[in-house]
Amino acid sequence: MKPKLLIAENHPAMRAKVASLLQRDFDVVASVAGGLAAVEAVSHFLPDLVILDVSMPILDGPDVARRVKAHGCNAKIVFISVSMDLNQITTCLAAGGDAYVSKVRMATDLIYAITEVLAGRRFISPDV
Amino acid sequence: MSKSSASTLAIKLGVSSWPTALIGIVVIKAVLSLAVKPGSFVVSYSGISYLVLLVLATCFAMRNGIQNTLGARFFWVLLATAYSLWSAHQALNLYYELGLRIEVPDNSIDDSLLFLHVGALVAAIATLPHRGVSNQKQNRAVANVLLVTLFWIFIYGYAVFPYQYLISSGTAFSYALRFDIVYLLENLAVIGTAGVLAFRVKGPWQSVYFHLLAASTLYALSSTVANLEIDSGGYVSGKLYGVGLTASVCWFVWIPLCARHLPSRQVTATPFDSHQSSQASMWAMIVVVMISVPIVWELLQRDERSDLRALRVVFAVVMIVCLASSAYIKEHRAQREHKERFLSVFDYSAVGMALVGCDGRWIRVNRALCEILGYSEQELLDTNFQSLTHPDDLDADLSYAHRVFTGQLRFYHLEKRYIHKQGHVVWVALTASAVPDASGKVSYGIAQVQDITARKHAEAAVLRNQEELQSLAGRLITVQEEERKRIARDLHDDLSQRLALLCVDLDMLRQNRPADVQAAQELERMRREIGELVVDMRRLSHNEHHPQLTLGLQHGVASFCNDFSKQYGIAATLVHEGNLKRIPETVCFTLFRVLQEAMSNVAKHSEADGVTVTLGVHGDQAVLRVSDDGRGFEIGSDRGLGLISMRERLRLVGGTMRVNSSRQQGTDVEAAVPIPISGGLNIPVIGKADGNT
Repeated sequence: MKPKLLIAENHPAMRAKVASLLQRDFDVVASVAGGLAAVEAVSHFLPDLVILDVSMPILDGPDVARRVKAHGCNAKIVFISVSMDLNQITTCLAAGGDAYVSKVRMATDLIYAITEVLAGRRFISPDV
Repeated sequence: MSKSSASTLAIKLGVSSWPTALIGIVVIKAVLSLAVKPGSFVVSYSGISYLVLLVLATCFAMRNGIQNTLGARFFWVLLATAYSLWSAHQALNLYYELGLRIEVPDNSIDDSLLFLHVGALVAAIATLPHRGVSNQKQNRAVANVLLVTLFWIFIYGYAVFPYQYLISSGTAFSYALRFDIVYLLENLAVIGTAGVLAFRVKGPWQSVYFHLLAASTLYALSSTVANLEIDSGGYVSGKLYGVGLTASVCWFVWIPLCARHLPSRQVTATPFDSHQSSQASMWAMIVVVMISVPIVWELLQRDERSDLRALRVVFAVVMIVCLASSAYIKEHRAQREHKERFLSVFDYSAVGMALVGCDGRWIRVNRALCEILGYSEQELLDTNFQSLTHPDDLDADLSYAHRVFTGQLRFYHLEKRYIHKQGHVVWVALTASAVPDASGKVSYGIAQVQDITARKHAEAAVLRNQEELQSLAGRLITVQEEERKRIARDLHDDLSQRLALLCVDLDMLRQNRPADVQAAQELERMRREIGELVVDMRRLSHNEHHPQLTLGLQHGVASFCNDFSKQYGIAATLVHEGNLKRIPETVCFTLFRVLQEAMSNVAKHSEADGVTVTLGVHGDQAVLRVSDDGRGFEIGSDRGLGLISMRERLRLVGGTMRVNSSRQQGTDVEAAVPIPISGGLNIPVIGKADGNT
């Protein structure tokens, strides 16, 4: 059985691209556009892994991660972002992230990162 | 010859014809005295010219009095009096000589007139006309004249009068000799007074007084010789001393004439000087004492006629009483005037004034203070300053007042509030000073109170306006930042996402078509290009709005320094001091922008290896310092380094910027912005104290 994934990304084209990248290998249970929707969807679908865009309005990626973890959810979390700012990466990992993938390198890094995370390891994209 | 030059000639003649005429008279007189045999009938008519000259002098002096020449009417009136007495004397003389054709009898009044005219002359000189006699001081001048005149009347009445009318001639000390001596004394007094005052008076009066001095000296000399000659029975009109007499009279005529041509604008009223008046009364007292000496002498001397002695004593006593009482009245009046003047300064001052006792009770208050506080005088006198002072200002005032009353402080200045009778607050500037008595103990103080409510309100309005401007500036900064944030979001949220998508697509394309080497290389290049574009876009977006700034200035600056080091390879070290959370948001934005600008200068111009960013809060200031170890620049060649825009940004939040740099010494940029102090504001009372006494 394919692992269940949930995608939270506010940019529609990016959301569609991420889904299309992962559809073949994973079961994408939902893709949502905002942080609040993501928190709701996680408690509803109980996915194995959540792909979180770092910067979203109202609730951003790290916020969602903290809430989800606070609810006692064990889903792995992979952050995606255009930015490779060290402070931001630190914040995301501290919020409960397991991987941090640069959106620019998603074609090469994203599936690899997910497999690594599901295998219990961590992954951070190399800086461009 | 034109009409105008003719009139100019006439004016010239008008001005210079008098001295010419006067000198001509003297010359004619001299020629006559030398050429014509003394005792001639013709020469005795020179007495007539003498009279004419005196009448002329009287008229000129009167005209000056009427026209208030040089602003000294009183002086001219007295001078005219002196001249007219003199004319009367001369007229009487001529009446006896030419009309009755007899010698002037001893008991004639004409000698008394001659004597009196010199008294009037002394009085005129003693008026000190250069002081500008105002109406109020006219009384004082009249009193002075009375004193002088009484004195000379006394001298005459004591030494001459009895011999003139009571004792027949032939005694050892005859009337004529006594008169000559006293008359000489009187003339010497004129010379002395004119001589002393000629050096004291100022402006045009100096020349008038020197003329007076010279004329009276000439007259004294000639008249003394003439009198002695008459007494020895040898006087005949037409002798040489007659020339001296005529010349002196001509000179006296010239005095009122020349005064008309002096510039009167130089005459300025000098302020009244109470010291002078007390000195005058001291002299009056001395005169009184001096007069009593001959009385005692008179009483002790037994070899004279008893009726004469009685007359003299009565005369002297009456004079003493007159002199003493006029001196007393003068002094009393001066003191009262002085006191009234002080009290009117107190009462009519526009500044509120009060005498305050040690317990704070009002002892005396003026009208201005009543108006400032809204109470009547009696209501104020029934209360004390403590009960009318605003409770917030009372402690400061009391502590200063205590130090003044205990002699530790001579005075203090305080801006404080009183409560008006109608209940509103009155702001005043108070100056309070100690009034020590003779032993140095302070029994009460003087308070001077100026209403500054209007100024305080204006100041508050200015402050409000400033606050409004500040908040407007703050809003401007916020709006600007919001706008930048929006642009940043657009860049980040959409454009960079789409670029990232392109990257993904290109990567996938590369993965799918590895066979075509050239296409793969091309794809690789495009991929790299777009990757760089994403990074640039992100930088641009961060420049517009640094995402970490929302987490606080400290985070923003840390993240910025981190990025900076990475981007330019210049090690940026961040140091922070104090509680940075106290910095308001608008100031945060401003300081961050200044940091961006300064760091951009470091990157572009400094060639530095390292830069230290210090962010601190010290007291009521937030300070940002950017110091690099680069090549520096010369101050003044700093155009185009964005310093102006930094300064403008800082000015919006009331901040300032200092730049220190010199070649090879690195650059130090320091921005300081005032921030609200934690805790309450100080009470708005400014206390200022002079040194201890």
